[in-house]
Amino acid sequence: MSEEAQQLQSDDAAMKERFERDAMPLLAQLYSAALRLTRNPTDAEDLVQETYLRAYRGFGGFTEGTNLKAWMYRILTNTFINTYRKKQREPQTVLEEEIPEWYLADRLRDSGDSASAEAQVIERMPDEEVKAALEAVPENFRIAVWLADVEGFAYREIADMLEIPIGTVMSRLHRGRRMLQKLLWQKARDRGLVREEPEQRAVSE
Amino acid sequence: VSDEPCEDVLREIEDLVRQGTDPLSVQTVAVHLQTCYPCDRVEFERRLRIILSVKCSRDPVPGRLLSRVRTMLEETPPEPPRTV
Repeated sequence: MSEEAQQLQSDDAAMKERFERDAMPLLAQLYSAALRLTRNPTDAEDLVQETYLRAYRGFGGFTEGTNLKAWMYRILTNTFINTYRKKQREPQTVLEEEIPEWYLADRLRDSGDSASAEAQVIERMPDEEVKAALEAVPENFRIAVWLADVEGFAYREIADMLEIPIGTVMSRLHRGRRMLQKLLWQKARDRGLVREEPEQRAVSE
Repeated sequence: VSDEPCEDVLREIEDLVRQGTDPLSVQTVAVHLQTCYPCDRVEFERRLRIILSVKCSRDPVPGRLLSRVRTMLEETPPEPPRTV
């Protein structure tokens, strides 16, 4: 083997080691993320595997010291949008009705001293219910809410990841959050964790 | 209505978040939130985001997924031939 070939081989080994050290610890986070996107465990596993494969193949192009998590999420999100979304053919049901700002705070405040204290109502809901509410938000809005509020990415980072203008990120996020709040409220009400809305009581009486 | 100006309370909230729990500030903030609805709404949505991020990010990883990914890494050949 030539010296050059030996050098290349040891570069590959070093890269593989670096990839394992830095990227493997993100597996659990990426799996959760994949579940929120695909909404089923089989597709989520495939999506994570595909993400790691693409990330590994492209790892030479990743600049060490920059944000690896953001880089991996970008691959995950794009892989999902380009492959699984086509496969899943999710009907893009959009909740067209206008949901008012502060939807959940306004409703929870009625059942306690302050809305912030009543946040415990949502905290007491089982994880599965909260995840189901998020997963029921239509996809474009769900992705924005998930990246911003669950994963904590900045609007700018999300805009770069999704390759959409920052204004679009903000409007999707805004609407998505209100959709999620309405779904959470409905779930809390179904579970009897909160009182019924007064106007609904009036109707049913 | 509580006498604390909103910006002072919001600053206290931020400090609380950073430092943990000072019972006196916790009390001041709670009283303010009961009477100042604009702050209460903002603080509610902040807490909601925290709850969301905790509840939606802890899914048990199937053991086979870790081994699938590791196997894939072992079997994936190094980068395609480089153009040097």
